[in-house]
Amino acid sequence: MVDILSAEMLVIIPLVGALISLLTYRFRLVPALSALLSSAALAGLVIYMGLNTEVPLETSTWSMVQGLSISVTLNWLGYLFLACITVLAPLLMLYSLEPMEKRSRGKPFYGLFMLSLAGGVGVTIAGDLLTLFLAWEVMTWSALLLIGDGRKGSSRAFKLYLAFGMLSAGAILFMISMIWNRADSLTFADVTAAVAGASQGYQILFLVLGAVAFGSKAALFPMHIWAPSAYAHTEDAFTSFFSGGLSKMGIYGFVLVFDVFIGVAVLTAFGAWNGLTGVGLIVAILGTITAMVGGIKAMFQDDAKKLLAYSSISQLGYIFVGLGVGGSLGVAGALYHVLNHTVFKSLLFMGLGAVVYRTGETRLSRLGGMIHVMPATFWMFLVAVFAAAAIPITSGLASKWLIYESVLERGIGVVVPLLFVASVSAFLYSFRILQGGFMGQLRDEFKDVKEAPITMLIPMGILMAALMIIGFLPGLPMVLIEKAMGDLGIAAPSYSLIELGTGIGTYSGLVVMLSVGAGFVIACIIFFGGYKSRKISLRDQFTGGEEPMPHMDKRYHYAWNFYAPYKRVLGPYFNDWVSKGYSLIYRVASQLGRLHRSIFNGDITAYIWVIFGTMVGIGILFWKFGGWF
Amino acid sequence: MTVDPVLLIVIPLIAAFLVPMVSIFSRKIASFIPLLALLAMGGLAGHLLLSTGDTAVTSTTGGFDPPWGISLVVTPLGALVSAMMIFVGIFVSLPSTAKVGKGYELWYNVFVMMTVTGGVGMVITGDLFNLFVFLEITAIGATVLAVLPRDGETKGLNWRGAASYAIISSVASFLILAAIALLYGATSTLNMAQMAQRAGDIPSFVAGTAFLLMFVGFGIEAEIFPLNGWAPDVYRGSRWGTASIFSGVVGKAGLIALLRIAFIILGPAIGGTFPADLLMWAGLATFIVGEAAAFTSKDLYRMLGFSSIGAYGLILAAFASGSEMAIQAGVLLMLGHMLAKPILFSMIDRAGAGKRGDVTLSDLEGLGRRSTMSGVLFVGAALAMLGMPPSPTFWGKVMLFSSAGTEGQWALAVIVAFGTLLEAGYMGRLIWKVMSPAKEERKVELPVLRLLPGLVALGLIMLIGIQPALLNDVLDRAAEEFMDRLNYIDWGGF
Repeated sequence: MVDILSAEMLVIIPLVGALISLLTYRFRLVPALSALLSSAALAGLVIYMGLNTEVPLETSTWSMVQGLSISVTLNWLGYLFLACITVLAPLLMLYSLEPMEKRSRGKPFYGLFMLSLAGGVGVTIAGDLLTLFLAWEVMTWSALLLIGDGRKGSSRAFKLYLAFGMLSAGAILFMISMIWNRADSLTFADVTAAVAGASQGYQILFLVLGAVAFGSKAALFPMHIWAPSAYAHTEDAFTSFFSGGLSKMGIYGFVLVFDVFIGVAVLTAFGAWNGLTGVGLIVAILGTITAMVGGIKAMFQDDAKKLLAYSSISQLGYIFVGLGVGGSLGVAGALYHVLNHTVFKSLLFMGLGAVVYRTGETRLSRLGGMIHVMPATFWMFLVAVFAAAAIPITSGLASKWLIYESVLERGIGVVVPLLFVASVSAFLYSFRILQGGFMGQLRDEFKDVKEAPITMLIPMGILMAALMIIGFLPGLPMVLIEKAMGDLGIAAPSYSLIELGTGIGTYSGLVVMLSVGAGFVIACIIFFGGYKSRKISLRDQFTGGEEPMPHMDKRYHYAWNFYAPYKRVLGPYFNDWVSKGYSLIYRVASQLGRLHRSIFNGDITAYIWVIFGTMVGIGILFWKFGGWF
Repeated sequence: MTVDPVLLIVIPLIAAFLVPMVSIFSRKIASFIPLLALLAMGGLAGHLLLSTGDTAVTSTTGGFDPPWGISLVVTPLGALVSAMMIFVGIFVSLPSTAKVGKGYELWYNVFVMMTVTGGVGMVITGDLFNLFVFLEITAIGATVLAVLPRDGETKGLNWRGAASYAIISSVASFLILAAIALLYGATSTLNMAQMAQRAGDIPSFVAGTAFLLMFVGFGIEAEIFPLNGWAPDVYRGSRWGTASIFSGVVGKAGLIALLRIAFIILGPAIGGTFPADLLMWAGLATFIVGEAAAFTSKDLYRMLGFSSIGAYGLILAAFASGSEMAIQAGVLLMLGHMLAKPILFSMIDRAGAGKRGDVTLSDLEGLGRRSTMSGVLFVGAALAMLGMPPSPTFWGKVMLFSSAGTEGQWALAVIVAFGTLLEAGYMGRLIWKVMSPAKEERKVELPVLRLLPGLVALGLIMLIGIQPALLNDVLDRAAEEFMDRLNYIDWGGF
């Protein structure tokens, strides 16, 4: 009998849930309930384990085939990432209850969702590289099958995701090869030992492969191109999980490679200045580019899902900056941002999903004024936007603050200004999605749109509450982060429940909240005490101080081609040359592949000549190298 | 108690003679005979697989001990591969058994049985000339299968493919026969175990020449690049069943025969690493060319045919790369391919039902929506081909990469990783089309006889994927068979 409080139970629960959901796929409600209950049970188990310090768990091992074995365990580092996805999952199951029931029957949504959850759980509790790879592949293909929403571009999204998934798989397989070359097992301890004792070339190759394998899942530049389209073309409930939850598995893998397998000692040997390793600097710069490219691309998206997808890439870039810079502040900031991003990005996609569910529209230029019909959704979305743009009263500020301070502490001249550009772009795209989606004027066709159903609002409310509570008490997540950093052997920055201590100063959630609160009160006094506002009809409008021409009996909507001036300036630099590079590779491969037509041309005589030519060729080789005669 | 493996040959032989006689009275009853024979063979092969523990099951015909009589040496690997071949045979002849009376269905079933028998014979025989005889049986059966038109059609015989195969495979037979003659001259025996025992006596020039001839001859059958020119022509115009037989039986038999001769008899006689190196590089070249060609093919039969060629290359490279683990990886890859490919061909046939000529990607559109189970089978098999867990291919790839690392064969790892990317390119396209919404809501019918073997195959894929340890013994013996010829000599009774 399997012990309830064991690592294997963590993966058995979602697998059973997935199996029931898949088998009952044709019924109504049964798959949803199975997914909801099993993910809730899993979340409960994970929370219980965390609160009662059942971590670290014992390792269980099963031998699979010919000396290969898989093993599961759990330490605090894995727990942090495990908690991200398992706590999120039941909320999303509840959230998707109504839209999925209304939807026409298509893919086995819940079954695949649960499978991807099981894969994610497997990644976080893997005790060796093989188990990690196994779970990684399950996660990849179950998420793959959920891509595709019938809109244009789904096909590209699907194929890009698969291509990068296979690239990542190939890199992990090659890493497995490299470890077998130097060790007798694939357990993390042996991997670390194998890498530590190897030559520098080996270590660099291992690092690069790790960055490709895991960075691609976390959309690290220049392997980010699959992410916007893949995130934009999945079912809304899964997008939250995909972008908020599963992308963190890439971060987890990267942390494993960067901080566990390779480790600071080895990285320092490559060259380090002021506590910053050279490799770390490269990662930080790549992260910065990711943050900047993601942010600036997000500004110009008309499709709201794509906007959020690019924003997700941008936010993941910050995490890489923190990891690259390293040290106490950097890693703490990165892990903190992992937790934050999971919550606010999920909430953003959920809020948008609610709008899409009610209106069936994702284009910002067709939305607008949703605040009038979906106020509750708006407020929750607003809090998430605040968090994404690192505006106080939410938790978003704390983690970015830590990352900024870590960068400042190291004094990296290249990264700081670019990171500020990325930050500004975060404000700009945040404004755009609020303005285009929720503010402005409501279109006639959306006049009768109802507020999101309660099953969607409850999980969103829970996430919003989490964001605000952490905003007040920034020390709360640090309890977990400190333990996770303990597994990495890095000391956490000092903290109390309401304060985070950094080298430069102290971040106090209370002070921040009080000052924002004071500002809010002053603004309210001015707003209510000053000029009287009046309600006007939606068509009472002015542009440039003039009334629009009388024949223009249209709503004024300027979300189309928003930020056009910026686009004119920045556009040429953010041309999609990375995608173009990849499509060049694709075209070359296709051209080479087409060469087969000249060999397999249907001419039997030619085949016979080829056969005899081959015989002669091999004969010559044989005579030269094989000692024939 | 173990049964006599010679029954694996005798049963289909009797069945083949029964069919024409019974068909005089009733074509309907006659049509069940090949299927029943295959089922009986399947039971036998399964029994043999379970009873070959640490050693091989041998049988001598007519009580003449080897080298005087022909002997069968069913190694554990041979039993596994035979069982899989018979499974492929049952898989492809089940659906057409129900349709007999129309077109060429009866002859199709008979020749499926015949080809499978030939393939099984090639894998279990212990005698080199007997191997040649079975090769001829396989080739004749396969040629007839290649010429038969697609289901339900009476016109449109695939002359081009069949002619390509018939002519090229006769070249192969000639080369192999010449090699056998050379080896017989050098060792004065045709028994493979005894020949292996006397490998040291073969002059290196004779061994080299025989190896060259054998490589080209069996390379043609096993669709090794650049000897596989005929293969796409066959795949393109053939039935789904024929395509499955070619990718699951004909080539696999040629591959096993080539490997056995190269590793057990000629490799030791030649010495050095040249034979293994040649096989490995030929395998890798075949893999890359096959995957790249599949990547750019339009007709789906041709695409999956190239994909099979790629799989053959990968399996050959795995076996030839020389380590114990790589050989076992080869067995798993072979197993994965033999289980998944017939499903894909079968589903493509469903998608293109009633269509003349090429079946293209757009025919596959919305297959999953038009018939849920077809979609499940297709996507499951395609993911298994890509090596997604749980599947034997997953473990095969992990083991292949592990072995490449241990042995330091980095080129192998890089090429396989790259080829897998190409494979993902076209498999992704297929999976996407199957899962995308259908333009036309025309339902695809999936008869039970088509569904059932598909489900069994998918079930086996998942079972082995989840519990690969089931195969541990067979894998151990497979490695023993190729790593040390003394084992085979011992099993063969010398």
